[in-house]
Amino acid sequence: MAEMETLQESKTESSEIVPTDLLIAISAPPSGDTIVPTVAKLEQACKLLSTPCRVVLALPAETAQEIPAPLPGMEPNLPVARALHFVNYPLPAPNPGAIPWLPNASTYRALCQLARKLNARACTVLGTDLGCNRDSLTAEKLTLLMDPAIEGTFDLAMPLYATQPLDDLLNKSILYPLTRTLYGHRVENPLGNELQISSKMFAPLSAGASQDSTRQQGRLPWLATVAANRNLKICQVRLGTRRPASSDGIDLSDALGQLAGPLFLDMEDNAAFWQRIRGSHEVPTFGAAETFTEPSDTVDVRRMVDAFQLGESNLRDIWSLILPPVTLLELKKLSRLSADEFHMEDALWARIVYDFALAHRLRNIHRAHLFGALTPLYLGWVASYAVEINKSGIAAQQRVEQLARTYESEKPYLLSRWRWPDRFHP
Amino acid sequence: MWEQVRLALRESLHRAVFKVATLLPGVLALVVALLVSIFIGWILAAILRRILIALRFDARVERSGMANISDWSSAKTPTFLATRIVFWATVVAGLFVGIAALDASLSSGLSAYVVTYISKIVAAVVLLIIGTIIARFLSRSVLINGVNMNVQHARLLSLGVKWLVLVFTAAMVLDHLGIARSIVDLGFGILFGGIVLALALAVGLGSRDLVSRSLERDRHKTPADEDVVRHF
Repeated sequence: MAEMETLQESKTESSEIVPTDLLIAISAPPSGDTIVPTVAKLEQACKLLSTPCRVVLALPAETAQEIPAPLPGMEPNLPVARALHFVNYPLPAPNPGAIPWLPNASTYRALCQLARKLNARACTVLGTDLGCNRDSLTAEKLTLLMDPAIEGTFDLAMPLYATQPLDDLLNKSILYPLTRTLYGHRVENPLGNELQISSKMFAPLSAGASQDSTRQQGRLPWLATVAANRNLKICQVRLGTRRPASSDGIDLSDALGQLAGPLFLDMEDNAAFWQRIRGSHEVPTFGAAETFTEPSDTVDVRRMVDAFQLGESNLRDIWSLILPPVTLLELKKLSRLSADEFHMEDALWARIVYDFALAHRLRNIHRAHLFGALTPLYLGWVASYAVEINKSGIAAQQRVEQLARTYESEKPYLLSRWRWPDRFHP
Repeated sequence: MWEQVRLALRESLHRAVFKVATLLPGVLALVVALLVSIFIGWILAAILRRILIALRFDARVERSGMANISDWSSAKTPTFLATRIVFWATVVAGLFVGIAALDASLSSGLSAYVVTYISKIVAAVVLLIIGTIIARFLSRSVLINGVNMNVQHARLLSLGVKWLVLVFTAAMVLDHLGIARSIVDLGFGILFGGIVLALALAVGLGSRDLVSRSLERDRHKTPADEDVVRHF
């Protein structure tokens, strides 16, 4: 504990801890059995850094209380001499009702403020997946996540995980293709929990602290958006396979609202920026590509198709407040298809997402209702995607790429709707 | 005798004409007051709209967290709401002035009665608006959540909730206005009690099958899509 300093101490004894090159922050309270191997790996990773530098590890303040004497306990496991210095920071309270593993904007604010106090050149954030991805997140991969901003070549390093075809579907269907289309960077996990940011990102990310309103609290840190807005350099780091996050007790409509809602809010704020972007480009990606060795499961889509059909028969009136007649007609045709031949066109799905983003801006209906109304449509897309993956055997990555390209080709539709919302309105 | 009848008629006519003549300036004053108040209200609303737009009032309200309130209504902005409140407050004030002028010419207690009743009507209208908004909100909530929970009769449930709230609101409004209070109390008691009894019977008689079907479904449950598909 001798090297562990509280944030308060760091204020008074800042001369002891500056200059810091890299701040590594654990952004969620780790459990007692993950912190010891994690620190050991981080120490190894520090030794592998291309440029030797002073590294400070920031742990949530709760960790020191919850884990009895963590540092002495670590000693026997540490294979190398200590390369880390420790600091505690107060982890902001999570938003009540929020998905536990979601990155929290106020946490990033706290970390950026700490990094600025320590005069760090970069901050690597390790999120909640640290515990469950303990095996896949090796010291070499952690090094990849520490190098880009330290070398000064990139300002944001986002994680790239290998997932099963039927995992992470909200990201594959909405978050990734939409952020890519809006901001022009192909960042595949825009809400990844493990990442690195350079000092250029500290100021914009800490800026939200003064605007502590409910709107800010509900925000998620769309770091790729922040970087794209400021013309900063972005890269991706392959962190291997990722186990899916626990979805126990999380309602799908709530999850849609918590994940897509903040993205729609960001669209409103950055409308002037993304309307100028055309197309998208690859971002440099580091690390070896990994794939799942076990075959993916086949899925029975009948229940999802039933949910879509039930939605079509009951929610037509509500959908008509959001979607134009042409889309409603296509959905009606789609609802007559059986589960085996169910297929939702990518263009139709992209236009639906765009229309919902617009309805979110115009507040055509209450926002909680909006995501509830989107749920059966989303299940329809998932069913269509699963049928296609099952039938054609097309690689999931290829299929997602195809969807993302369709989002891009449909962007003129979004622009028209956004600029002249009444023109298409039923 | 005919002379007396003629005299009575003349006096009656004189009184009627006098009454009308007394009333006319009051009515005219009422109309003028109303027109002037509409004009002033329109000007005030326009000035307020310009000021609020210049101050970015909508954005400030949204940032302050009060946006959740406006979520209950449809696409109306806080600026629109504020200007409408100012406009109608001015019109109502003008109406009061007009009624007071009318009352002075009538020299009766009409003004006090009308003012009291108008305040009741205003409260009743507010109740009706709030009730309608809540009915629409709850009905949509039930419909959407019902569909997402795979309830086959979600639309019926939503319709039931909507009419329940509307009937409840109507009873409150009529009670507030003092219209057929006893009938409303009695009628509403019977209607509401009947609905609750019907629901209790429906649940009591129907739940046996429902529970057994649910258990059966759980027993024969195969690895379903939610075990394979992961949304996040």
